[in-house]
Amino acid sequence: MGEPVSPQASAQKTAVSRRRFLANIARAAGGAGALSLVVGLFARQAQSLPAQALRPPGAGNEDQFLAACVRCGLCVRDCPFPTLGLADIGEDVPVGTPYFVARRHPCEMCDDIPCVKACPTGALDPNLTNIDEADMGLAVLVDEETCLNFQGLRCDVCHRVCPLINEAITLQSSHNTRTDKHAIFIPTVHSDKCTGCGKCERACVLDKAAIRVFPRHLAKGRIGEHYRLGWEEKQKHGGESLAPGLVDLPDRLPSQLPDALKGWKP
Amino acid sequence: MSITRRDFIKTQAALAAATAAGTTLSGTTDAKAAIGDDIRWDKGVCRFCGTGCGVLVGTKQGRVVATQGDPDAPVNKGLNCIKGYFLSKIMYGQDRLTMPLLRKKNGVFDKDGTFEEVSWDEAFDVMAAKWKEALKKKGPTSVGMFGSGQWTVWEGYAAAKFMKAGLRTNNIDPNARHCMASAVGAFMRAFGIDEPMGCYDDLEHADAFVLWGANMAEMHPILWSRLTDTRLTKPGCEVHVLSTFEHRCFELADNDIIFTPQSDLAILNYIANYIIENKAYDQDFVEKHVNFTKTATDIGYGLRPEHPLQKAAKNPNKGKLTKITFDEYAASVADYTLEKASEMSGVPAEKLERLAKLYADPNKKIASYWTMGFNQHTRGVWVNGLLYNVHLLMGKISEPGNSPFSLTGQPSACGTAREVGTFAHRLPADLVVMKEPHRDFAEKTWNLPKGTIPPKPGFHAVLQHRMLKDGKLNAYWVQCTNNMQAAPNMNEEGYPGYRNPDNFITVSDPYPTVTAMAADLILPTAMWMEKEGAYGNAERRTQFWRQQVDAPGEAKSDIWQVVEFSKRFKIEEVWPEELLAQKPEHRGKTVYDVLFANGVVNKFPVQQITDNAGNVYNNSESKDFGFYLQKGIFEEYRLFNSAPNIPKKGHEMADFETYHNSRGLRWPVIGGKETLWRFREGYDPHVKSGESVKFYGKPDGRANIIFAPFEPAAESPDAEYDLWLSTGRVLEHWHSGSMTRRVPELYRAYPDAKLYMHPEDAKARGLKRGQEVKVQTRRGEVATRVETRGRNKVPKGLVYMPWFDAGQLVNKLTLDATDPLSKETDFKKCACRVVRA
Amino acid sequence: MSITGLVIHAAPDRAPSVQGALEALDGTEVHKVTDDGKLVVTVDLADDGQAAQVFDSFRTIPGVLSTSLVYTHFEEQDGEGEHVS
Repeated sequence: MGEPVSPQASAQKTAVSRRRFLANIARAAGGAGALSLVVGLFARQAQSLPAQALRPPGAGNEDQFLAACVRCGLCVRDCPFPTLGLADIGEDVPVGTPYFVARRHPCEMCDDIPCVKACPTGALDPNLTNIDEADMGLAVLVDEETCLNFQGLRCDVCHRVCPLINEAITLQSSHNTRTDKHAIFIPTVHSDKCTGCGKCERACVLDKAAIRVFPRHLAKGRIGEHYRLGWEEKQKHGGESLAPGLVDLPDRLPSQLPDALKGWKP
Repeated sequence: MSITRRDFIKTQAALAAATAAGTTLSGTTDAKAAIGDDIRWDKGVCRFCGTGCGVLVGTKQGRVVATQGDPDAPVNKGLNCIKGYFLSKIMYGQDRLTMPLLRKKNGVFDKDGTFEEVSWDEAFDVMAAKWKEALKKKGPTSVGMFGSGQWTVWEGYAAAKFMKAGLRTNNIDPNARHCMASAVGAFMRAFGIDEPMGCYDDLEHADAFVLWGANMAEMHPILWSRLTDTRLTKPGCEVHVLSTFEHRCFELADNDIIFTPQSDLAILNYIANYIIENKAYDQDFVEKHVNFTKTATDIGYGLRPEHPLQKAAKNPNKGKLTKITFDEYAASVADYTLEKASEMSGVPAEKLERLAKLYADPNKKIASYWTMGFNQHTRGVWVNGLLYNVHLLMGKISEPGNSPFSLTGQPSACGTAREVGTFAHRLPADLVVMKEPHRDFAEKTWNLPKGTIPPKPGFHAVLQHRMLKDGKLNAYWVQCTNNMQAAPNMNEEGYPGYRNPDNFITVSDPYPTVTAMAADLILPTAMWMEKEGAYGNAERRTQFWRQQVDAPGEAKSDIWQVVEFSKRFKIEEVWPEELLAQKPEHRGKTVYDVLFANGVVNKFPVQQITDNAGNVYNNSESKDFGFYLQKGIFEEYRLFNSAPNIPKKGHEMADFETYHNSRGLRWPVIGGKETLWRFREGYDPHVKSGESVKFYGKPDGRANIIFAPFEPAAESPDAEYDLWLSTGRVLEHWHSGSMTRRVPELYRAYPDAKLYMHPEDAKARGLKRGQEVKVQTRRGEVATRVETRGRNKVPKGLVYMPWFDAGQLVNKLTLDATDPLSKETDFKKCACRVVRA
Repeated sequence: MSITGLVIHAAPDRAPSVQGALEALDGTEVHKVTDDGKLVVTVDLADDGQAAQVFDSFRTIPGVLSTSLVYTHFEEQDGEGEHVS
């Protein structure tokens, strides 16, 4: 639906026209109030990479990448797909740096990673030789209210287009209590496997994608150091309790289990 | 961009500005009201697969603007797959055809001309002249029609009647030949009556599921959702999945089985052998309800007679059954030991044994599902039958949860293609042209002279293309299907057949498909909700809908086209004198008068069509013909399946109006009740009290267990062409993609076909993922890209390519080897090689 | 497509003439004029190039004190626009 003025834009092309447009308004409106409003927006936009702009494989930390990238454009030249582009003057991304927008052209995850090979400075990490280990971002199912699979429909397009299907995105099935005879298949992203290639966001059939890829620092939560998941810690401990040697006394039960307790596990 | 949406945004813009100005707006509609919900909703059925999901269709200002899964539809309870989600967009592709198009040069028809818009009159004038010329020169076998499991019930019926009774040719066949013919053949051989005995409720009743060459997760997504739910919620439930490659169903598999193509024949015989060796079979059931037979062997591959494989066959095309004893049957399957089956199939013995034990467990209710893996098989009828053998040995059939179930790929493969007799050998309600009493009944019902319907089956789908190429079939009409893209061996048979200068090809379609573009005349066609319709799904459920919107431009429904075209033939032009002499009252009439204005089809006057809410609906055909055509056709069809004197019982249907007032009914519908499980007392009204089980399609009430051995595929990989090529579908696109590829979102979700290949096979050929390659067979080559990841994981030695993509016509590669009994092509097995582009 | 909502502040006594001038422009609609001279305006145009010209012309209307942009909506005509249907 309609959106208020915001630094977010759904696609780069739109972002470009919006920028031009805002500039036009600034010029046209003339009124001091309107001008300051618009200038304020500019300033905020320039501060950080927009959430939808993703860096090529091997870019790593944004500050380090910007320091090392010489804006030569060789990665863009060697990208065999229309995926990578160089930021232009007036865009939200630092001028001359490579990026892609998943909804427009996701990364095709070439086996030989030509963009990394082309990088003369190591801004794209030459140690990245297995594309499955790339970390361009992280897919997030941002809207459960519109995701068709959450409603019980059988879309799961994001799952099937995932180059790491069943690893980076799995379908977790559960009972559909409304129909009482269908299953619900929830697309679930696994951050240890997702490379942020953006195929899922690109393919999402909704008018606006319910699954989106963000730079990882925007996408990932973190559990406090003060708490651990007991079952995971136990598994890490080889399935042994972290508090070994404790005893449990047997339960007193009739020798013949009554029907009501059949299948019951203490 | 619709006006409404623009207004809505503008309203929001004005409201926002007003708020900023510290004021309010009067006279501006509330944002919600601006998008409005004054949509008329009426029930319909999904246009795509044979699942038959109920939908509600939302219409506004003469346009379908929205759809929803019908929350009360028993099949899907409001759910849809991603194709169903986009139903409202399929009629509105930008290249909808709205005028007839004829190839012309210098103002007249020319086979080598370019398409020009013409009127319906001119289109039918040229077409009728060509058809009459063919009839005059070579007789009724020189005209033919290719139809569809996507035709509505009445469209199929009208077309079959027009061809078989009007033009006196059995050269009509549906695209279901490529899809369900093997299933039909096996139903008839085993049970003497078509279509599954069970229903979708088996998805909840079964304790275990076995998938034989069916990728339900992608091809029947909503049924898969039900199956998954049962697997998740029923303790002890297990799922066994068999295929020649790993697909989406394997995620749920408790026993995952990848077998060498064609070895399913051996695996099924092994299971029968296991059941007998372990004396697990239901002796009482077998003694009372089953006959043992064996089928003729070494039957060839349905190729042209001069093909070496055909010449080498001892009993080409023979399907003769010979009665044998139980002991003889046991001895026949005894060869198929676990070791042998494991060796032939490449499946670890323990997996096969686990599967055999499951079938042999008397306490497990088993539903077996199959689709194209079984049907598109040069031994398709056999392999269908081998599965029935297993279910019949165990008596696991015709009761809740015990259900061998053939799924269908088209929305009305059952309802139309099979039930109304659109096959080259069939008549309505399971009657066949080869049997004189059946022809007699049809002729009597249609008030035609004896001998009108020719006794010899017509050209089946693959044979039609061969006959076009050979110049024996000269006037040809394709409706509601994209057969140039769908039929096998396009390079050697289909395309040369269409472009043969002796032939005049008409294609009716809403869109300029590959088939339409290969034609001489294209007729613009009304689709889905632009006409009143009825489909029959895989569980025998017949579902009706009303015409929701008018078709664009001059587009007309398939039934309009057939019925209108029949006016172009005088009965004297198509019947010989000896027929006319029997029914002199038909003299001077047109085929239309005799077939459709016959006092039965035109019995019902035009009526105002309303739903229960009082909304009024159009019916374009009623308007044009002056009577309620659909109702008349359906009620005449009921004379074949529901009248007291019918030759074959078991297909009884309710009257026309009842269907319009229901969410679909499963036949036989008798005494106001649906039938969920056939052949079993208490469930099926044709089984009398005390009979317990009766396979009443057979005269003695017994089903046939039919022994059939392993025989190899028509073409296997060799040194030159070293890979198996299997073709199929993907969830996002339906069949040839003529509808789904016109939905931008579905196109984006799966834009182009690709070749699924094992990473090591790719590496061995120096190929990288995403690289352009050529897939080559002895018949042609197709350029595509390699995919070594993703949804399908093929084993080494096999590649898989979907056929939806008109830009990558995979049927240039496939071999037109067919099951000699069902005449259905094996699209799953031929030999190919893959090289760098 | 671009649709913009604006508040244009005019000298109260000249608001009616500003309104007339605005309404003469392509795609521009005045939804309300408040007593203190604020005009609630929407501009609905095919593309933003055109929009710039229209905004340029606001400046030249006698009596306009300031222009504030409140709401914008853009869509590429052939892009992944949203559809109600």
